[in-house]
Amino acid sequence: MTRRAAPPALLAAAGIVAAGAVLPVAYLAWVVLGDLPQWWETVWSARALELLLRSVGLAVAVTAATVAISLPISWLTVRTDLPGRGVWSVLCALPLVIPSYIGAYLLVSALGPRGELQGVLEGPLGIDRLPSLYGFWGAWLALTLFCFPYVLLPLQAVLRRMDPSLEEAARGMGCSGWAAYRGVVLPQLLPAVGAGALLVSLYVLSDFGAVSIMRFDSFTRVIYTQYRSSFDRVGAASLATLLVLVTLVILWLEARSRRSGALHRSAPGTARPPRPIALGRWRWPALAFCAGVVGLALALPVGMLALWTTRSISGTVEWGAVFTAAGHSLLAAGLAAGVAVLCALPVALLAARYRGRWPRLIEGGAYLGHALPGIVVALALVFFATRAVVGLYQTLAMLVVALVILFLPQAIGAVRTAVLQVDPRLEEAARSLGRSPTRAFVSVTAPLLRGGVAAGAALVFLTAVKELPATLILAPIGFDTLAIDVWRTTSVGFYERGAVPSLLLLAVSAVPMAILVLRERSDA
Amino acid sequence: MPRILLLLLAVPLLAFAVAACGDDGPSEDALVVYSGRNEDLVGPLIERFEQETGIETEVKYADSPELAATIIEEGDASPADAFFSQDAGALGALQSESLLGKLPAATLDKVPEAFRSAKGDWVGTSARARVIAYDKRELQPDDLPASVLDLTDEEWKGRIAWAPTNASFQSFVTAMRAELGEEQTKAWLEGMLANDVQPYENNIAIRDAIAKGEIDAGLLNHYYVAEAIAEEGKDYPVGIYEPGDGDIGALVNVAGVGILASANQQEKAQRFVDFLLTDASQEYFADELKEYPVVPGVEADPSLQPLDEIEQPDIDLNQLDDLQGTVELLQQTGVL
Amino acid sequence: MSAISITGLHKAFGAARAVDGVDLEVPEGEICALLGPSGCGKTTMLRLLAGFETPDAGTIRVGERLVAGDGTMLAPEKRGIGMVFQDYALFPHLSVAENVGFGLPRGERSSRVDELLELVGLAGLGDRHPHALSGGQQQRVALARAIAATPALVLLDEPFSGLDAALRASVRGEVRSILERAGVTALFVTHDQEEALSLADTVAVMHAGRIEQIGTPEEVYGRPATRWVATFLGEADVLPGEVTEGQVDFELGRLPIDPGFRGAADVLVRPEAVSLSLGSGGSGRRVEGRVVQREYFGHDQLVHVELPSGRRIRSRSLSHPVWHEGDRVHIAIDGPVNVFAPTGSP
Repeated sequence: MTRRAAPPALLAAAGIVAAGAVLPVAYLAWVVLGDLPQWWETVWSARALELLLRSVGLAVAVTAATVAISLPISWLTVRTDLPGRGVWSVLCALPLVIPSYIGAYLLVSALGPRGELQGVLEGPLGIDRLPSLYGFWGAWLALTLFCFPYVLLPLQAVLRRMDPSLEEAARGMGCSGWAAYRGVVLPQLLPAVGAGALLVSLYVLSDFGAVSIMRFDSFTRVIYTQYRSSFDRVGAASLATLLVLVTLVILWLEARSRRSGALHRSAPGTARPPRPIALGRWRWPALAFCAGVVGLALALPVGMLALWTTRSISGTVEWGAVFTAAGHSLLAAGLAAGVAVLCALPVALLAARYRGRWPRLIEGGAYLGHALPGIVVALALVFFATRAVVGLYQTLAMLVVALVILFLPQAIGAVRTAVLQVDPRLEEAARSLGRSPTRAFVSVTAPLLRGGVAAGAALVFLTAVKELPATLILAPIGFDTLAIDVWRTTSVGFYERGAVPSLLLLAVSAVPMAILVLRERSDA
Repeated sequence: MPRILLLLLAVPLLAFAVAACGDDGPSEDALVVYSGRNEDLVGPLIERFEQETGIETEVKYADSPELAATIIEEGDASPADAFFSQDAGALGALQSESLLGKLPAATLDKVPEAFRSAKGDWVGTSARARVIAYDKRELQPDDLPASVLDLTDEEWKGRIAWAPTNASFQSFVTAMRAELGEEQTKAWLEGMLANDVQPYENNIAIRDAIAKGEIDAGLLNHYYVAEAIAEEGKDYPVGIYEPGDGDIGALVNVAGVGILASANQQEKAQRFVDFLLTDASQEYFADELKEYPVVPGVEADPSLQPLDEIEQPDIDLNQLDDLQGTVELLQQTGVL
Repeated sequence: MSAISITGLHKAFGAARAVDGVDLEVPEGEICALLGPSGCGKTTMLRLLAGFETPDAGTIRVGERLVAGDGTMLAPEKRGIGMVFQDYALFPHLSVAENVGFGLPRGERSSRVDELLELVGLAGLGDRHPHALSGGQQQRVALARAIAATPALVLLDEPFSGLDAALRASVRGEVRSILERAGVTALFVTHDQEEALSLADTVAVMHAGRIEQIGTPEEVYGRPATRWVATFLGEADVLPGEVTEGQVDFELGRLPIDPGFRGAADVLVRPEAVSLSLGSGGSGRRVEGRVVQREYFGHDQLVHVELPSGRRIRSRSLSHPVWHEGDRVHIAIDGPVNVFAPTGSP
């Protein structure tokens, strides 16, 4: 199936999406070409190299940690009889809704040298300061805790659809549970791990919130600094081009790590839903592990916010404005999620089912925007919109386009994984039964992709709803979102007042997330 | 098949229709202000402007440097009429891109020369002083040095906070370069680093860290502490210390406003600028934000050391647009 | 009239010529087996017929209609060909009835689906989902789905490979009778010669992208056209021989066969053509050998005998008499043998 050339219509649709996604790179090229000597000077410097190493080091460390957390949790929540696994599924997905700038700040407030924890410990133990959380490990901790669901969610989706007979066959051949997992389950999870790891590493490269709070000089932080303090667009763009190069390398590595991508059954017959594996006495350590992760990544930040909410003067909260902002957040992130999955479908189909230069180029292009700092994408759109489509500038449409460019890969990853799980023979069967290619896709493949599409939409929604830099620049005037609300209150130091919109941000995100996770479970 | 295709097409089209029509957008004759000053700070003032003048005003709030970068990308197509900036640096950046129009002399003359653009492109609206904030539980004003330059002493090792990515801090370093020269500034920065200075994300983070007892003192703007004192009361554990004798550590910087050369609403923008310089507005900055008013005759908050008593260094704010050089120096020394 | 006529069909994937000049006619109403080892191009043939691959050269007609070649490439959905996939490709999100009715116009669905489920012996299971069925049942659902819209032709890709041996024989019979009752022409690919011989009216033996021989099961088994067909289809031992005027001499005697050439020859002997006896008996030269191995299958046995030359030959016979290792036996040819020009070492 992969030997055939891709249908032109699919290629064209995916090509258009990719062309949109590389707009920011085109903008960078335009800026940099205006001053090549400065580009060379910026890029070819010890400082740039150092930043590169720091950022890549952080991305590698965070990615490894998120995979290490997600593999056991995905297995526990999908394949075992872990008590309350539905609840854990939802709770473990929720850290995604915590913006890294808030999450990191809350971590510092709670666990920093003189944070709340220290306050608790000071009385009985006389500890007057805790070890510093700032720097590499602080950034690592914050990004790991708030990014691991990017790996977890696709893993759970794959596990739910994985043919249990394979694992059973392995165990029947005398493999221990662990050997069966390593030999049979793990290799099938690898594409999903790769897709999730790709998202995490690119997100880490583009993140500004956590690294700035944790005072870790990453690439993106310095790019922001260039814009902020020297208004040096060429310098910032030059550094951003390096980020594009790093992204290309990561994409290349990820593509190489994909071996045979197909995940559907090769055996005749149809998968039957798996039966949960009994944990026995291992259920307590398993519970403790899940509780520990959820505690740090979710309960701690939410608890801190709740604590602050009680401390803040509730009279100062303008509920009307906050709810309007919540509506705006839902609208913008919802549209971004919908448009992103529509754009992701052709790219994911192309990437999953066809090989060759064009499918690879198109998929790679669609991922490029993800590693770029929000400000770069936003300014690129400002640049193009004010020159080409003035009518759309300062409209919600522009904001949605930016969010889609930034987070499209999250949708592509989820949809692509789902496509790999659908046997293309099913579509051929539908065609031999008289359905046109489109109708065969709609009546057979599309329903089977539903889970992946929903997961992709949820990921984009959750990331878009908390996005700040691009939202600030591109949101229409007066279109306050919850993220903007949080920024407004925190940037002048009213962290306590930021607690209410932050909590609402969590609530707004938690509802669709919970519905998604629970429906997924009942489907399986 | 057509039905399905239509459906697939309909969703994004609908999305864009909603997006394009859902918002009224700025009406044609509204005044559009890009404000780098926070809505919580200046929102009430802008409401007052709308009420008094009847001019419909649309405000885009974001951080000053981002807004400046946005305006630079927008170029002549910018929807903005006026740019209300948190600091002189962002205005300077627009000035050097020739994106700001000239203000009339009548407007400029309301403000002392030190607080406005020499080219007449922008005017200061309120001022703030760099101070050393300190933990009152640990330190007395007498313990603090007469000059920020002395913070490189062994005595202060690991006890001082700064926010090197912060625009105010960078303005301060720019001023130091103008005042003391490149070499001495570099030596001071390196001395601070050697003395284990603690970098923080911003002024508030420094203030809160001092309040929590995480660190003893830090370099920041006066009003962050003044506001906290106003909110928390006299027992707030952070105090303000002004280095004396024209020390560079007592630099005074401004927030300001300029009118874009491409503005569609030149006249309304002019009224907005003039409104910010009225006595009432100046009192608002003084009373509500604990900033220093820049129009002579309006009094600062009584809890503050009056602006004219601060022995300001002799710095021309127009020299502070060489942030490029400052950032290079900060990067070269490893501060950034 | 032919249900399928294929002429000069070629299809290559890169350098690999999967189908390399195939001509094939399948008469209407017949069941034709495309038999060959894996990688011989038989699945590609099926996919070319179904319309999932485009031929590089050649034409394919289904009935009177040109479906591929000469600038025509009819889409799979327009060919009216039913297909049973190797892994069945049942739609996991649809019930059995919905699977079977998938290709039917909405109005006809319910009555026709019931009829089909009855035909394949799954009446009453329409509401189940595919994963709740056994392998054999899934196979019959796939078959019912493929013939639902009464296609002129049904293609089956290794239809029995997923079933266990015991099930295979009974399902084979059922499938044959379902296909016959439905009155459709069927082409199925298989690598299993027993399946091909027992199920098909016609067997086309494929090798390296070409069809080596087409004929009834009896023809391809009893009179293989090539040495390759002879060895692929059933068991055969090769003994060197010499062709002279109208007869063949080899270790087991002289037989009156004229293969149309003179000189050295390979003589292929199927085990069932070799009879063993104690002492004297048989005709012609008496050859004595020694039993070296015996495989017992219940209904019959396969006995390996070492000839005086040291070569071995196998003999298949009913379970009696019982031979033992070391028995001295007389060997006689008691059935057809095939003679081919030698192709190197035997």
